[in-house]
Amino acid sequence: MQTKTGERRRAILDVAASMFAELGYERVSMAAIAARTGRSKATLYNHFESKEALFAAVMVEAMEERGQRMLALLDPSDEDLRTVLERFGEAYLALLLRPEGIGATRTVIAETGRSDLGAQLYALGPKRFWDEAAIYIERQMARGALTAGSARMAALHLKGLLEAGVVEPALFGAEPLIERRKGVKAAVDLFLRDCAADGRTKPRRPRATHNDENGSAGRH
Amino acid sequence: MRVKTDERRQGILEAAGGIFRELGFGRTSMAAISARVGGSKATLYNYFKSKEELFAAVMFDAMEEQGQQVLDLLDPSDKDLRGALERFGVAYLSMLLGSEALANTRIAIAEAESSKLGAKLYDLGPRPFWEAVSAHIEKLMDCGMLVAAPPRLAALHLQGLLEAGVMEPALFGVEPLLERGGGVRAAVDFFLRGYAACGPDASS
Repeated sequence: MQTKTGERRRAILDVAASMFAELGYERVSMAAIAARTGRSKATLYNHFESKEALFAAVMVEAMEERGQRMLALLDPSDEDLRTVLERFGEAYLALLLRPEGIGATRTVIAETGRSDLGAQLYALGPKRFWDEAAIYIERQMARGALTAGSARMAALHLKGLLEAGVVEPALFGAEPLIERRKGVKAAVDLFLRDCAADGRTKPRRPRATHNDENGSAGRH
Repeated sequence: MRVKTDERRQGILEAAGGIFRELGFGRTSMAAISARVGGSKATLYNYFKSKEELFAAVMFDAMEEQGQQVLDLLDPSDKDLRGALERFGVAYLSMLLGSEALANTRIAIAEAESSKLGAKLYDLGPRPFWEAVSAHIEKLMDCGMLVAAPPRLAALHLQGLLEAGVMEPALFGVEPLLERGGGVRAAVDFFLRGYAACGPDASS
């Protein structure tokens, strides 16, 4: 249903998305967005009641589109769980750690004391995304590829392991503590060591010989 | 000499912390802080060379002592590995999720968008803390309680597992996805299944 209103809204979202990415939330004003869309501020406010609401709409749209693409990597029919999870992990971190992605996350965190923007976006973003990932994990548990347990907890653990050493430093603007690929491999390795119920996805080596060569961050 | 100036320094940190958390880093000026403390700007600069240095002190002065107490829970002679890790996990999250600590973390993250301050703060706080945890884990590996593995990687995994479902919601201002105690138990359980030398029950 592409009405004229829909088209206008679309144009505003596109302009706002690129301006937020380019300048950061703080430095973008509703007046500047209106100017770039070639419409009045009044028109802009007809569509979005505040800069916060406009930012939320931009974020929700981006998260939905990219999130769906990411979740599609979790193909339930692919039996090579390790490869599926590694591909997913790398794509997930690549998405999260793009400069615009980190910038947007920082903006939301910074706004948290002042508004409920964080709460709104959390529910529609990370929460919804990992709930869907948990559904995939639940299916793998049901078919016996992962040890039965709380799928939601397993999803949170997978998320924590994948993000460890990369997301927090990125938010602070510091260097990552582990190279991304190595980190993902090590995270998936530990996750499967813990959860795999299937011989094929058990660790490649017995745990007693798990050592530095096996996806290491280096020993310093 | 320290004793004499400590009280004053403490007063500055409290006043500055309040203003930073109210206005954010960018909108806070040294002049406003000295006005609230009730001294001159020159006095303030005697204690802190810059606004950056002052914010770093606000963020970590209180945490330094607390951080050491949390690290002390990891006693290498403690045979109850599971218990020690759980106590450590609970204390770690309490430190991180205190309302002032959380507000300071938000400011540091927000500031990272436009300056190097965030990276400096990361190097003063989280990084050395987890390096100390990693050193402890290495000892546990050396004495055979944990399997041999890169200790820094194991420390990162412990951090990721402990913070899962709690830290991110806190930063976004929503309720945690896991109840704290249950989350810590599950995290330590997962960690020990992966890293304990003789299976997860060896230490309980």
